Amino acid sequence: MKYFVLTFSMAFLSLASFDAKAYTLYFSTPFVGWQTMPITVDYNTSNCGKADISDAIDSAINLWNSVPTSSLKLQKGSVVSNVPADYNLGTLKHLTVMCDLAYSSNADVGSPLDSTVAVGVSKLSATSVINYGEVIVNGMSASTGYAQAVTGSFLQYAIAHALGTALGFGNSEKSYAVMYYLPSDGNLILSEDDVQVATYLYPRDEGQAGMFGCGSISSASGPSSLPPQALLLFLLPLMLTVALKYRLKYRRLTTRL
Amino acid sequence: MRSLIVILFLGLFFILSAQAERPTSLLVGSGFLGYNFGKVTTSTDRSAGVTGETFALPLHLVGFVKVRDRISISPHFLYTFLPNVSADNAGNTTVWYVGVPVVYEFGKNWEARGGLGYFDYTLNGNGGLKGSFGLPSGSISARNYTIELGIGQTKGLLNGNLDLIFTAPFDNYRRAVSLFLSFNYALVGGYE
Repeated sequence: MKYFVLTFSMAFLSLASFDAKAYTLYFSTPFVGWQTMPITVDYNTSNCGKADISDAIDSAINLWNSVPTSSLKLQKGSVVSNVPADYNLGTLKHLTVMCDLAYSSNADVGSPLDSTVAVGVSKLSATSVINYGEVIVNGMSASTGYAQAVTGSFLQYAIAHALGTALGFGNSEKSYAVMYYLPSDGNLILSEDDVQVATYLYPRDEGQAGMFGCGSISSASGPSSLPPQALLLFLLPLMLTVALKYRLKYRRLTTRL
Repeated sequence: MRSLIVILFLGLFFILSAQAERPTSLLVGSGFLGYNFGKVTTSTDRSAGVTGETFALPLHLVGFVKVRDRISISPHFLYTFLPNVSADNAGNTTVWYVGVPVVYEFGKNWEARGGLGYFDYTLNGNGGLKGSFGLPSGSISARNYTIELGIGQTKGLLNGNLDLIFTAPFDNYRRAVSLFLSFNYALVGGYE
């Protein structure tokens, strides 16, 4: 009897649903994320001082590649000689990370506060697909957000956040999320918000490619084609039929014995 | 950690003794899912969360189809009828999962299970704006094949299971484990 009570207590407890997190998207109009996978991330370490931009990019790429429900696939590209002004000229070959000596006056990235470490931006094509972006890192030695002046973990966090912005992710209200507007020191780890926004823009569908995580780099999007209720309606009668059939057979056997 | 799990399962496999026969049966129950167990944070110090992303599961259907002595196939299905809803009602998340493990009975009403499964993680949004940012709209589903391993115990009409569900097991970066605890009641069958 106590097990019966336990089972149904658990069932009632389960009726209380947990809160989903509120993630946001970078653009206010409907859009689609980068379509070509893998997304190459080039970088230019000039003007970065002694800040280990390369290592921070590695960490950020590994972080965003680790979402199990996302098809997002980033890869580190090569060192390039592009400068921040190339963004407006349209001459960036890939999503590119660069340090800017005039960071706070860079209008392409919204003239960010000089206390911030990095900022990401991206552009939409005529068909509302993200196809162009950059991450600008603070290279102003006199500013409080100078990349060389912050700790390695802070820099990783800031670049992961800026890279997320360039991928189309908006800010999160959760202070522990990578997409929280204010970076901080500490463990670089995903939050539920980060997982959900990466999944929303780059959903993984292993029914189409890459079972068990093997080599899936395609980006699938669009609404679910199979409502879960449909599967339930199919499974429930099937399981009942099978179970009843065997139950009756078992009863007949035990009666004979 | 991985070695510990392997040793745990190997140890359980060898604890064998006589036990009652389980007929084919159908159970219904409920449980708790810790999704991406240990991989996502929910705390301000950004430490890996103990439970991961948590889901309440109002429905869990479990079937046991006896194949031979001590061996059953146990298709099971879970679905969050009541989704996780965001505080601002901007969106919600639902999960359904189908697993088909092979169950090996051992010890006193214990069972070890291992098999394959299919996970669907659906995000729904109502659209709109939050400041200058957009909010999700429509419905997007991510689907993963999984490997599941678990242990359980059945007493009469009652059954409890603890399963580890491995998502993207062969991808070094994406690999994640979800923990699913369930309690179930036999509508049909159960140990005699």
